[in-house]
Amino acid sequence: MIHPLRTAFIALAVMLLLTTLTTSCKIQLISDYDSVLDQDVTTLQQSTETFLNQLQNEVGTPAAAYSANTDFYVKTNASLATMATRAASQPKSKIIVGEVNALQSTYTDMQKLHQLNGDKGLSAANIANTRSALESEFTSILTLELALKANAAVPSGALAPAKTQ
Amino acid sequence: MLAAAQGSVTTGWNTLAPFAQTQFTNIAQQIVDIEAQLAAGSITQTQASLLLDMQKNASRAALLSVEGIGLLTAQNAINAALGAVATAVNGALGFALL
Repeated sequence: MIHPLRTAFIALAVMLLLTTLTTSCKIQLISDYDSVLDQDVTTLQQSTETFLNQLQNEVGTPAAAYSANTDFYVKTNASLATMATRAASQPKSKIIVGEVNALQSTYTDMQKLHQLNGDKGLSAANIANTRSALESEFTSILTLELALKANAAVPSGALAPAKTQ
Repeated sequence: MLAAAQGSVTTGWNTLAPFAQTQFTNIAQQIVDIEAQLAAGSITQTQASLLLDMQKNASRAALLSVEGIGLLTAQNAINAALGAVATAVNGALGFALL
């Protein structure tokens, strides 16, 4: 025969376990929406688009040379380093950190290509290919950020409507 | 519990499918273009390597976003199911224990 106290203890343990599982243990698998990072990515995209448009207009001229445009790379590398640090400071941010790192790598490639071309600067075709890669990356980051933002706007209770009597 | 989780999965897929198709199609077109430029001699091997590396980064970013939206979808589905458990327990008990 099971002692009544033992039965009460088991029932209490089960209730505490259920309470813990369903109230304090909401699962988090990915970082929350970050409005600052969202804005930083958008700002970087805008400044990059301006830079590429400028280079496109200056193709074949001395103004297109790498030596005339090092300022852009200095500022952009600093922005990206700041974004990477901020992304890494958030919990469960492996995905966003990976995307920022991919963006850093593309800007490094772009800088190397520009340096390689020396006084000629980037050709129209180089600019088109580079722009396409960057647009794709910006779209990837912003699509994820928008999904996180939309998720943050949904109250958690809306996912499981109450059916209490 | 299943119905609660299903809604989250459908929402995630509706975001993911068009995004993934567009991104990977664009990247594939760019790779073909770069290889054509190399074959035509309008870019060097070194230039082609840098341009292709950019497309590799773009692919990586797209795949990370697919993974990220997948994780978000799974997170919401699990939390919805956990919420449904709480609802079911409260309904059975007749009061809001959880």
